[in-house]
Amino acid sequence: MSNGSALRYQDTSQGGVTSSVLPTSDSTYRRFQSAFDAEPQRRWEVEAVRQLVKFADLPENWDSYGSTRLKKDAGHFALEILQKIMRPRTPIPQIVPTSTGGVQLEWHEKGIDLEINILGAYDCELWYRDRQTQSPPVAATFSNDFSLLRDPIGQLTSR
Amino acid sequence: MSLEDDAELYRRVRPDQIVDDQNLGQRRPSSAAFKDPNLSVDAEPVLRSAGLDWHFSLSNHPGFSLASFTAGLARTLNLTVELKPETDNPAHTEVTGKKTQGTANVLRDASQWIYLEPKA
Repeated sequence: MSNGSALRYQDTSQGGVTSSVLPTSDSTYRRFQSAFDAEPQRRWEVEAVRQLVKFADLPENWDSYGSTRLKKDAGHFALEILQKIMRPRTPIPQIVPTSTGGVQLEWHEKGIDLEINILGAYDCELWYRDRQTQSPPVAATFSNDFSLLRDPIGQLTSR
Repeated sequence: MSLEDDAELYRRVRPDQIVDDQNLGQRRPSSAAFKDPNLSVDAEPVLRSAGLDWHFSLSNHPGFSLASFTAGLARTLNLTVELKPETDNPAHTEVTGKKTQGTANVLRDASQWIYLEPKA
């Protein structure tokens, strides 16, 4: 390193990349190291958390018809479902609050209509329609077995 | 007073409950907007007889949109449509009964926008 402007990579067992030569300033380096060390966040996760936090802040009667606030367990379970079913190329769902304190995950694209209504933890409804096959809609309830979601998520991901 | 099957029922929809439907290329109410077991709506014939129109349903609710479906459709889904006037709303009506995801989707698919707030 002749000009002192490059990072020098050292033993990472002590906490990742380090450098004894700072490129411009301490703050620049700290930003770099923070970003480098951070757990890579998936885009859907960032978006879902952003939406759920927004819904958690909604007051009572947010829909003007006496709706209740988002139930924490419904929000957490929505994230749990997404963590189980989302794949790298799966489109990001639209997330909608329900008047009874739940949330609904929705996809309306690639000929698929998929809705997962989460009333609370382990208390969910599925509704799925494939416009390309024109087969009748599938409606079902589920709790902790997400296998029903395999086909629609697979279609959404691969089309 | 009972409502005829062709009576239009107005339901306010908050922006959070409007989704982009890429299959249809349009913004639509989410079925979540029709899931309430006691779904409050405003009956258009009652509004009209009181000299009012859909603007009444959105008064004091800036940012909301307004969707409509018929009383007859709700009845075909085994839902009860009952006029329940309130002090400040003579057209208040309740569409009662359990709304499965399938039921809510039928209401959603048949609903029409009376007013759709432009996207922010």
